[in-house]
Amino acid sequence: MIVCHHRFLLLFQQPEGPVLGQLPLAPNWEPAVEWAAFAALRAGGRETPPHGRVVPVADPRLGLPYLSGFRVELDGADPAPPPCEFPVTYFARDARRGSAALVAAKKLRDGDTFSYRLLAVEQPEESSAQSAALAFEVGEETRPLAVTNAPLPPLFAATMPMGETDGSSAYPVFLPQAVLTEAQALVEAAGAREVGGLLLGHLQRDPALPDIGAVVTAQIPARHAVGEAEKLTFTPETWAAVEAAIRLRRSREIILGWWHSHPARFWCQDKACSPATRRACSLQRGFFSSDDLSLHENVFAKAFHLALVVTYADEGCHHALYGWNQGVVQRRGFRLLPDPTDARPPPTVAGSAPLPTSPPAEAAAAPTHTPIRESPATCQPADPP
Amino acid sequence: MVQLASLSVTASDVTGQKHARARNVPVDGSIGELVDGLLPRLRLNSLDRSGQPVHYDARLQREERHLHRTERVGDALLPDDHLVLHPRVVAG
Ligand SMILES: [Zn+2]
Repeated sequence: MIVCHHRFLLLFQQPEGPVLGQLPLAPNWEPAVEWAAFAALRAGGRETPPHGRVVPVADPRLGLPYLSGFRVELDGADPAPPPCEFPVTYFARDARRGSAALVAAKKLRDGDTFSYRLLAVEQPEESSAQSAALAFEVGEETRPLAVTNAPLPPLFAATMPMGETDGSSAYPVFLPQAVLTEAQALVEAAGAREVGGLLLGHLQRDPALPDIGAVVTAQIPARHAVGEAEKLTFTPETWAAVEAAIRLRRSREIILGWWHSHPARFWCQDKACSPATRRACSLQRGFFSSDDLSLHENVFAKAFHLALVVTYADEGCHHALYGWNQGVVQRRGFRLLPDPTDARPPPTVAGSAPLPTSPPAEAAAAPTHTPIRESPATCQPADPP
Repeated sequence: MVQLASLSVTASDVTGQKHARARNVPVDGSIGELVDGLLPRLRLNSLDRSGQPVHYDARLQREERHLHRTERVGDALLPDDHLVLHPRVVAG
């Protein structure tokens, strides 16, 4: 149960200009509460169910109702873990949605700079419980998270950092090269069709640090997923086959996340883009689409859940890992566990350009309008450096 | 044989991280109604980000089959059966 006694909204303004409009928010607090619970666990605290209160944090300069963010106070732990604060950028995607509406209403032009502020007003508590058509009682049950205790330093010593430079809040992820190699082989074999699968492994807690790392051990192909040129459908049969495969492995693994491909080299083939334009195209560089985000939010909502994207670009396959960071899905780094039997160089990891889903932190102060990519079908030039 | 008027079942999401127990589920109800009632407690979305409904199949662990939404609870389920909700979801 997540309790919030406030209504949140975004106020849009041009620099030194008039207010352009406001957007009432219907926030999904679950990623924030999950992140707060995982942060407490990583810090050596006891596991708490993802229940708590969302409390506005006043802007120190402007005061209420203007906010610098919000904090989550978890229930149920004794002593209570310290509150976990979240910045205004938690609502960056809402800001882009609001700015798109302002562009449509001709209050903003595409590319205009604008700022947004977060406000909160009090409102009576609304129960999050929804009544079902069929009358029966449903109660959430809390099960302990499967975490094994083992030191993390040997894993750090055996691996090399790959991908983005993470902020201090990122938890370590250890990914074997064999998993990337297997995924890449499946992607190349599928050609123009998207393919995907599940990432299995363990959560490993080192009480001495203290911290928790995600150790990926295997990938399971989603054999019954329906792959098309620009989408991949995980059907109920997909999940049933994956569950059967996990049971057969008998390795006490948990689902740490999922992976899928973007066969970008086959997209836009009917367009007369030059090789240089194609190389610079953001589709070739890798991205996390709005459909990917929707799937991740709904199915992989735990703070440790990961998503690997294998982009089949003109110049070959490269990988990018995404995960939750302070309640927002962002591209993130990982530590690569080399395959001792494989002398090939490590796989290519996509560059460090900011993602459509993860604007830089300063975006809260004066973000530039960036359209949300709804479909990978439109060829777009690279963002300016 | 005693006919139950209601029964209890447990349910989880596909990642095995979210769990719920439904009590006093009327045997005359449908599996579809049961699934719809479980979604909020499992904190699973019934709509995706674009507002389209997300379809879920209930997988009955005991029989290793997906139940049809129109099946009657009393016909398909036994007390304390476990269901896993399998979504049909699309990556882009
Ligand atoms: Zn995708």
